[in-house]
Amino acid sequence: MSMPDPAANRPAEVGGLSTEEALLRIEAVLFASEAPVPLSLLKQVFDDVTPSQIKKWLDLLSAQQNSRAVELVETAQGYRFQVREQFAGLIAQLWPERPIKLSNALLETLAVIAYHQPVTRGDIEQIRGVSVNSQILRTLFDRQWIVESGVREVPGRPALLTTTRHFLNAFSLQSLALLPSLEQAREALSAFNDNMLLDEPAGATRQ
Amino acid sequence: MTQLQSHDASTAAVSIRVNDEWISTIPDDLYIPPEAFEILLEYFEGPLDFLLYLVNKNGLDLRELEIAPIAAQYLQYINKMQALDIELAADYLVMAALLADLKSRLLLPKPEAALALEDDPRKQLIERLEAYAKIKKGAAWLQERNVLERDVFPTAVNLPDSYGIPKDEQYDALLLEKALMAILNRPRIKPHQIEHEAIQLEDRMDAVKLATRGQRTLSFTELLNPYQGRMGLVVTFMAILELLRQRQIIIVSAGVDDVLTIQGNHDEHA
Repeated sequence: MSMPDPAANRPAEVGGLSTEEALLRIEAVLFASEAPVPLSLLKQVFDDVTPSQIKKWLDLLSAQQNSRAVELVETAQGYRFQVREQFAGLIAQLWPERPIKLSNALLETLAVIAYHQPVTRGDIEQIRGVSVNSQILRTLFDRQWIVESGVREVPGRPALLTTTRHFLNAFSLQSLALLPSLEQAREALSAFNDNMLLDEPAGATRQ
Repeated sequence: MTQLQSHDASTAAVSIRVNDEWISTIPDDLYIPPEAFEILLEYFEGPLDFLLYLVNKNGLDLRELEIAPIAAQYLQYINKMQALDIELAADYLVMAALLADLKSRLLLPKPEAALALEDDPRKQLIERLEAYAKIKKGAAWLQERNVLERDVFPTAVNLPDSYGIPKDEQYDALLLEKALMAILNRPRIKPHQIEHEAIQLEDRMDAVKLATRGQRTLSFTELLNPYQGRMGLVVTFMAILELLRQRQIIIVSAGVDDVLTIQGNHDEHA
């Protein structure tokens, strides 16, 4: 496999490896892994190579995917190849049962947990103004997007819910800090213009 | 959602009661005919969502604490819907009670000193609305993300068989033969099973027919074989019904006042 050499001014070999060989190794590990591969694991592929060097290689490998149906992304769990978003419609067409659907109620529940964690069911009810749908919580648990992280020391000792790395992974987030700040309440309120009701019905997925 | 914009002319002259207050006309700023609200209920995520909608429909600024007109509109809807026997989720009723309480507090004469913002009953509700608006925004942001297995999909690459770890070991096929021989040579243990004797309807019919050959009347208990248990009781009863249908027997006593008693029908069966 030949590739353009965007790093002509870079030393041709690092740790006794050509750049091309290094990229192929990373590619092999990423494809062979069922879960995203953290940098610490990639480090074991090489002898005496700094994390920053591996990150440079990952950038090069990512750039190589420009004309391909897959892309290289970094998530909270590590690096992974994924099929690009533009093919979601195609995949939904071929395997209609496969793509998941996220209702507004589910996303609001998830957003409360993500932004206010740790929260109890009561917190979710207070913020959303509706009783918590057990089915929604079960779905979030089943997807491993949330876990019980303890109890609040109040009567009844309600379970505290927090999001997981699986949640970050599923939404292509490297950390919770990347959730947009919602401090601007004025902005948040003004976002609900008339278009809000002209949206697709609740539960519809984007195309 | 065209109902939202359409004004229902018939609602212009209704008379509704809101908190002991009769209102003969629906304010112009009401956009949704209450009848249509039943459909909209499924659209809104709850009372807070609906309140936010009313706030925006009225172009109100929550920071000005203009909550009273929104509360009034909300209560109008709830009351109208209850008058129409539209079933409301409890969450909407809880909010209605909260708003009614808030409205009545606002009617109380204000103390001399200006009401401190912290004590303002409106403040808590507005904080909830703001918190909910933020969450709605966060949910919308999450909805827009590339969600794994909805918008983007993990790659599934299979490793070639030769990568199989550990490498296939070689085994002698004779091992299988030996294992089978060992099974066959094992001393046979004959399991003792208690057989459950099936009770045949035909057998019971024959037994009943045999018993009713003479002129004697027979009670149901006399026809039973006590060894056949409950199932025998059921099958014997079915046998009697079948023989009755075939007119081979007649009922002497139907089992209401007296125990079920039958007799052979010898008139038709010579």
